[in-house]
Amino acid sequence: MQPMGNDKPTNVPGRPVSPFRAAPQSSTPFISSGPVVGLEASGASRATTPFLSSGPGTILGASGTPQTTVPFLSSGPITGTQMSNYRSPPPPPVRYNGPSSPPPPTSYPAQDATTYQQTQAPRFPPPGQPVTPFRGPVGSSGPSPSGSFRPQPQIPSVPMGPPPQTATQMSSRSNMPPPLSESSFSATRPPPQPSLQGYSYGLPRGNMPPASAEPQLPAPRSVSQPPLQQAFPSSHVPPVHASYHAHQGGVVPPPPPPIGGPLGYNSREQIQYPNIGPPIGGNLQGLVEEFQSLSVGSAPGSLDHGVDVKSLPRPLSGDEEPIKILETFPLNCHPRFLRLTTYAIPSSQSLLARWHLPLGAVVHPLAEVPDGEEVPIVNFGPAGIIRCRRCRTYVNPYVTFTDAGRKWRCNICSLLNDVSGEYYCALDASGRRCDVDQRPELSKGSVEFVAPTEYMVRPPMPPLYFFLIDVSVSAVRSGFLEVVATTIKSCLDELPGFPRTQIGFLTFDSTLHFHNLKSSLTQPQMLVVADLDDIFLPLPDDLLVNLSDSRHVVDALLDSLPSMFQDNANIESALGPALKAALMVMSQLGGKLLVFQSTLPSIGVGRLRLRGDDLRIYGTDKEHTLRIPDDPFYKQMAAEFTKHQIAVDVYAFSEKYTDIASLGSLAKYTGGQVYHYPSFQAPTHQEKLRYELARDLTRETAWESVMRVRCGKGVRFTTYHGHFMLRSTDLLALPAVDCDKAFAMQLSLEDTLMTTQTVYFQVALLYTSSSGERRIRVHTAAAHVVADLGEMYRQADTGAIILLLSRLAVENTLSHKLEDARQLMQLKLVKSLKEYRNLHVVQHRLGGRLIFPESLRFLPLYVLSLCKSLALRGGYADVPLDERCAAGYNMMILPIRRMLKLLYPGLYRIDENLIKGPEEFNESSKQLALSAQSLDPRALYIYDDGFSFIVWLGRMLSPDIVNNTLGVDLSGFPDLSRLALLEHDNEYSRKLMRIIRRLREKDPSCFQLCRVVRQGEQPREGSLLLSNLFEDQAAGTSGYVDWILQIYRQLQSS
Amino acid sequence: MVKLTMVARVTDGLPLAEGLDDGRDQKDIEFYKQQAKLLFKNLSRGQNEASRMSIETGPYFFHYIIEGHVCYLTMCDRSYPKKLAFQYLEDLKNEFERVNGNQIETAARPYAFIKFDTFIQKTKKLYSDTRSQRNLAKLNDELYEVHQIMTRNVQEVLGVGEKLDQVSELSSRLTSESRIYADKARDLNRQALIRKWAPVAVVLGVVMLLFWVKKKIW
Repeated sequence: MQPMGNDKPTNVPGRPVSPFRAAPQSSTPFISSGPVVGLEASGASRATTPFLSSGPGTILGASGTPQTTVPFLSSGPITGTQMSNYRSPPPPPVRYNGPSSPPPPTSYPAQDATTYQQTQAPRFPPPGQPVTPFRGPVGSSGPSPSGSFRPQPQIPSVPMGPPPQTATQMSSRSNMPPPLSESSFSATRPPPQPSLQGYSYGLPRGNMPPASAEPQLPAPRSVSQPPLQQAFPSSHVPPVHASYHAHQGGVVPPPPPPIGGPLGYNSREQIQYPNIGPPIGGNLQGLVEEFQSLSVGSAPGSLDHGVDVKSLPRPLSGDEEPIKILETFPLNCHPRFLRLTTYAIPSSQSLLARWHLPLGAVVHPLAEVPDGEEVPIVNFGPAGIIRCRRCRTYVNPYVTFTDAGRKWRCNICSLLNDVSGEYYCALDASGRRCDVDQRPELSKGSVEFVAPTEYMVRPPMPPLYFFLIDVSVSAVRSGFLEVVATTIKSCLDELPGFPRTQIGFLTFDSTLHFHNLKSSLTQPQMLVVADLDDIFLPLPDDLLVNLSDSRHVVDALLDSLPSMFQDNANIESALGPALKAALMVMSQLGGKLLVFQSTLPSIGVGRLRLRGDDLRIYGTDKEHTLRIPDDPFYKQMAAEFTKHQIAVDVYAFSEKYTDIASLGSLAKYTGGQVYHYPSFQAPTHQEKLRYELARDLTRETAWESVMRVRCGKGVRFTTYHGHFMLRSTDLLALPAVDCDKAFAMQLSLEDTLMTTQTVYFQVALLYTSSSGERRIRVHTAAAHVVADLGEMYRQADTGAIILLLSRLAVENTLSHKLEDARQLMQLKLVKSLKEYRNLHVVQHRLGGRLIFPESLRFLPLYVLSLCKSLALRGGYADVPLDERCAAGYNMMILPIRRMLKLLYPGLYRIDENLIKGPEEFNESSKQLALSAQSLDPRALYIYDDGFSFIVWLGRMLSPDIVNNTLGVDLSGFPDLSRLALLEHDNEYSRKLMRIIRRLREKDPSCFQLCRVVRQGEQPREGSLLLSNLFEDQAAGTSGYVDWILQIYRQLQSS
Repeated sequence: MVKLTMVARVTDGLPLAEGLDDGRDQKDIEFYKQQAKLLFKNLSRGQNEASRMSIETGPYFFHYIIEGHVCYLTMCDRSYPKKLAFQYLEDLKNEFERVNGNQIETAARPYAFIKFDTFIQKTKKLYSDTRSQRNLAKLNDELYEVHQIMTRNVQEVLGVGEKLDQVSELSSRLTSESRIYADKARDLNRQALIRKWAPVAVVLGVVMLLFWVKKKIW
């Protein structure tokens, strides 16, 4: 410790503040320490710790006490790298011991320039080790502290020489990384720059001598590259990650395990992207300078290399469900059903006002559950369902029984209710009911009650499907009519609800064609109604028939449907009158209405104009009018449909503008879904349509349902976002709902101060299952009430936040300009980070770092890609209007996992899998950063955003692979847009298809159409892939690094 | 013309099945459904009703048969032949017992046999046209005699229930009132006692006090 004291003083004189100053000092010490390190190297890590501790002292001063915050702060460019090192080595804690907590300190020490040398020694061990450890993580994909631990053990084995090198590398890298980390975290500081440079120089020199050792280091790494580069990258990479982690860890003290996770990811990235690494490591000076500029904040553009892109946080493992909450509240329902944006509910309005992110919940009531975790079913029989007298809360695991079991207290409104005789059970000594284990409703957060008669206004309805099919000329030409007919026919056996299922068809062009499906007929009869102004039903019944009775007639109709309209030359489309007719047919029973539309509705009520996408309107106040329904007719129809328990799914197959904005409102207010197939062509799109239509028809669906979310006193749900109709202030009417739809809602506090410790939420979905049972699915969850903003950040759930944000953004585009919606998102992000910064800046003297809580580490990236998503991206020319609207409607129903997948799609390199044939293609370990830099021209990649696959063929990919996988000779087949990827009789193709199938199985809710694109094939490459690499800079949008810098500058300025 | 068909368990009034699209184009169908449910409730109270009965309500008739603890009820136009209506119910009964006979007692949730609605719908169509050959034959069939089946008015039937309700309500009110009366009487008794003896007690107290004071003084 004494040495530490010494170091500190030295540092202090140099410069009072922080690491930067330390840097110069460190450089000198560094040299001296260099030798030391070498000596210590083998066993040194611990020896270094003291040094570190001293270093930390200085750094700590800068960073301040909070361990968590410290990491970030310390991470200032230089420290950043060091930080990483620190973390990796467990010793760092020592340092903390001095100040505060043991583990975090490590990172701090690293920061100190003075300590730097010493620290380096310790660090070195980690770096050397890191390489191997990293790989380990990569392969195993295991995140976590173990990685860091491993490095240490390995350290001893590292030769003396190498350590110094590593150290140098580390330093250089550290410099590099720091920028990155800083960039992400906000590293910029003007003053530090000089010191940094000096620092960096010093480091290089020290390092240079040891350089010879480098080869050894590289050796361990598997990466194939020039030795130097390899060494650097590998070494760099690990350090960076380490630092990164350190930062994160520092930032978020509470969740150490998560940190481990990030490390693992980083390591993977780095490993995969050794190529990228070199530039960073390559020139320390360059880095330093860039860093300087960064710190100055003058020229973000010059930074591109300066920030270590690799160290930025990336959600390469997709969604992380906040399962931790189940440790705090084991009786909560699983987060797949209900997630809160933060599990710490603020206790007062003033606290909420400082939480600039949305406070709310995401409900996914029918989420698919893995086998063995099915929601238990409870039948109370004639006794009726036990509910609170006053607030109507359903009995749940959080109610408490008192008075020897004769009363129970509602956990939501705390009213004391009587326990009915049938439900009575004695309490044991601890006040628990003796029969808790036998009663799922008292031991499980999710449960399904069988509803008694009081919950029915009519007998349970049968599943009902009514098809409204456009048969005008464009429908016939594009071939969708035939695909739809064959798909429906193939699904007839699997429609849920046999033998009650009802089915009906109505086709239309400029007239309406009803189809009589009476079971006694052998052939369906078509009845044409041409009077569009006064719609009437030509038959009282038999337009809607029982499927099992009329099966042969339905089959006959579907067989003849395509040929019946083969020569139809009618170009008109009377969608409005057809909708009215459908309503008349279905109004008795309700059910699902599937609308297949291939042109703009042109006659009758509800005709739509060719509004066109007008360039001039963008940027004006009228911009949003293009995105809202043109004709109130559709909204009125939607209200009527909902009233009669009819859900509308819209399938649009347009070559031209079809005004999805208007058609989509049918789905929006009826709990439906919009399927959009732009320029549908049967040969390429039929598989997708077939799969998605089949899923729509056969997935388990909840009919005539209503949903209500109750919450404890003091909080209230105010706004709801998704596809539904609000029946009263808090009752969502959902004519049909299924496992592919999630709902978001925002919470507000009532003005009082919350006095309770815990607040409860209960989702209740009353529905009719396809088998004709009336059920109530109830999910209950609890969350703590806190008075501390920091705790809110710690318990935040990025997935839920981003889902809520995205829905707010999409709704915002309906009333404002796209630009405004994007800025609003950014503003929210900046405000919340600023608030977090204010929380820590005082105690830690953060200076120029961008800090954010570990729980929100991916938030900046997600917000960035949200701004670049189809629905919000760019302006006039970037996305066709219909696609933009369709994407917007889509985002309003996506559950969290799929939303995150959409916002950060997977990118996998698979050519090695094709060649070597290692069967086990592991997505999680191979996902790459979403940037053009990840693309190697010699390789083959798959891009997967959950909605489509894009197979990218590098320019230098072996023609052998190309020809075999595609099944055609590329030179003779220039137009890849028409190419369908089929399985061919060779190994490559089979393996590729196997991988694609595996990826599809992971997300069964839609069919990912596979498109092939070659490198340099413009414009397809640009529109399909490059514009969706969200980390890259595209026209008018910033890249990930720039984005981070931008956020940081706004934090500083605002 | 059959307007409404319902099947319920007599023991507890639990609805078991109902016609699929009953009451299409009829605005007041909800009112009659409520009446039918009230009927079931009455039946479940264990009043011994005839196993076959017709009840007139407004422009319609309820017809029901009770067989094996299950009540099959339908609502028809006044003009619809009674004979056909009961034939229809018999058909339903036979099929229902054949398909679900052994599960009727154990059904725990409402509309447990909702799948039966398709059969109801099919059968209903057969009976919808009174002049079809098949139905005419049934009408002429003398085997099935419906003349003895009692016809009552719905107000009467439901009224019985209402009156019973009133009586039980009255009696329960009587018991609670008499309890209150007893309490009050006891209270009055006590007050009377106090009023009677209080002066004596006061006088006695004063005398004692005087004695005591006297002793002290002396």
